[in-house]
Amino acid sequence: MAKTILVVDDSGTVRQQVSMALKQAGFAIVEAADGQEALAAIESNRAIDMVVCDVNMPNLNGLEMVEKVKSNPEHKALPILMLTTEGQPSMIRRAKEAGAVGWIVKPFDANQLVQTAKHLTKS
Amino acid sequence: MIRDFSAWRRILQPPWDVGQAPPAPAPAPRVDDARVMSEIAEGRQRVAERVDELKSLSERETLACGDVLSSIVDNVRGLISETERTVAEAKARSDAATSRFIEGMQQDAGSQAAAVAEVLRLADGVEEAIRSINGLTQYSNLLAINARIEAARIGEQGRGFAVIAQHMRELSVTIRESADKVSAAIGAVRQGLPPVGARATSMQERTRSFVDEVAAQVKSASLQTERSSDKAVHGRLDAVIELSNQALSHLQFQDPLVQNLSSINRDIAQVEGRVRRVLGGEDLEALANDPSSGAQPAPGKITLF
Repeated sequence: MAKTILVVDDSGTVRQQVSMALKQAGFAIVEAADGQEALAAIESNRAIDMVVCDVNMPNLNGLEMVEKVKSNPEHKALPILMLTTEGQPSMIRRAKEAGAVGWIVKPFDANQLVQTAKHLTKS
Repeated sequence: MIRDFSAWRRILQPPWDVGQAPPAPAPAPRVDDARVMSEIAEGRQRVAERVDELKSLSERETLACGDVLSSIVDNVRGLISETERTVAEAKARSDAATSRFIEGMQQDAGSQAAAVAEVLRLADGVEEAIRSINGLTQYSNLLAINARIEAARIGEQGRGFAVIAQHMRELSVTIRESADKVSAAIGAVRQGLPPVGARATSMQERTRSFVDEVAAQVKSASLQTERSSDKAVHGRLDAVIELSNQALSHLQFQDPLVQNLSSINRDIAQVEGRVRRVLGGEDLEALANDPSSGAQPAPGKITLF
């Protein structure tokens, strides 16, 4: 059965590009436009195997979302990969401390993203 | 499909007629500060509108490109699935025809051997009949001899019996000779049949061996063709996905473009704020050294003045 990845980004084009690359590699995709939507999706869909998340988003940003998700012990093992234009070490450190598994600076390489997703979802 | 590029033209069109030099700036009239601020604010608003329009246009076009790209990959995937299904159906038909041919060959070879065995069985029956006939001729010959002895013993009255006995003897000899001829013919047939039977059996074995070999070769060739075809087809699909991924990388220009356009809006707003402060009497040099005024706003974060 295909693994499911939640793609979180306020940019419709980035969501489309990330989703397309992952879909072509056989993943099922769920999309969210900000941190709030992502939280709701994670709580309502237990079948999510991984999250690819932007940092700068309205309502609830990516770092706050990771902190909220990881505060729930049920989601400790859920891999969250940050995908952002940001590269500040303090932000990367904060994401790592919050429990994110990785940090990709946009623009991303689709093949690399797919390989990372396969590795993190063990598929 | 005819595309409507009017939106692009509207955004990219310079504010003067193409082919003519841009108008030289008119000498600045003396105006009051309020007027300067009003013009700056209006300019900022116009730029902001253009920027918003450009952002939404680039998003719309990039999403459309993504959709087209996705459709191309889906179509290639669909085409490959259809080809695979057609190849599988053709292979199944070919396998069934080969099986029928092999079965027919084996049945023919088996029928030949069975026919030889049947001839041999019939020859056995004929020889058994000849043995019975030979027994009967011996018996009738014996009767003829006895009849001649009895005829001789009774003298002239037995002459008629002697003639009959002689005919019986001659008949027995004739029957015996005929039986011998049939027996010799059967013997010849029997002598000839075992090699024919052996040849038929050998041919059947050779046919089976040949057919098995052909079947193995056909299966191997079919598998190899299937594997090669599978490899070639999936290689093509991988290449299409790779190209699609490359195209996706190129389409990522839109996100930084939108972020930079937003920065332009913020920068213009910041300039407007600084002009307002200068006109309000603040020292331009002190303002330039103000660390807060020079700080770059974080991407995505909206700074309000």
